[in-house]
Amino acid sequence: MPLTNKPAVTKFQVGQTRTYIKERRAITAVITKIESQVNDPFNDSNGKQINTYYFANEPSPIPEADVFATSNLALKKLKGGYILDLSGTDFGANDMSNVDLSGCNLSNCDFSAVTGLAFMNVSGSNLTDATMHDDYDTKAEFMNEVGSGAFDDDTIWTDGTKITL
Amino acid sequence: MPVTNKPSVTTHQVGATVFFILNGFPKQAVVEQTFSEVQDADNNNTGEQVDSYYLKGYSEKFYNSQLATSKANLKTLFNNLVDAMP
Repeated sequence: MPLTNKPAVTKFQVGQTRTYIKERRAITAVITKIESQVNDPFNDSNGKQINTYYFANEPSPIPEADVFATSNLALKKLKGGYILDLSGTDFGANDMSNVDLSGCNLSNCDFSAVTGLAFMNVSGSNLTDATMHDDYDTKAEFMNEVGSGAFDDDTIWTDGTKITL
Repeated sequence: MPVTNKPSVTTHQVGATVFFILNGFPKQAVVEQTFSEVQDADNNNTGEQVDSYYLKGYSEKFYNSQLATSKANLKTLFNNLVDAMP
């Protein structure tokens, strides 16, 4: 059977500013071209898609595994762990809107009194046992408030499970 | 603004049989690999996509404009090319 509906939409898009790792350096630039190669090496009709990215002022192609939504996530990959341990922090009555906390350990943090969370980026972060504001204390409420792109499959929710599950 | 929702699904899929004319002869082959390039050269956020295909038994790269999904469609493709001659 032939494959269907390939290639899938790529994780990142042309025109987005993203961070990539090359020779153990994190570099942020605009994506100028994406190549998607599809084949079916195991002949199982599932197909395999390989995405490669080109960046402004970067002649080498960059594999998707080395491209990240935020510079924090690239640094997390380089470090091999959360880039900052903010566990236990009480964020008080601060407006956390647009704050980039991606790639951080936020376990046991207190967000119960914050005045805003819109676009607070927690991609690749760990929120285990964090206390959330009453208005955003379910996965659905939280994801709706921070918005798509501000969390990912590696975000750990307060109950210790992936936020996207 | 970045481009959105690219690449689009290719016209021909891996594993599908396609029909084409090569060196003056009609041929058919199975798509082995597709290759999609997305750019936004004119910077209008639309994104231009170029799809190319590698077929089993052939080393050449083929483009959408060369391939048909059936013998009947290949005839139509050929007729359209002839009709477009000046």
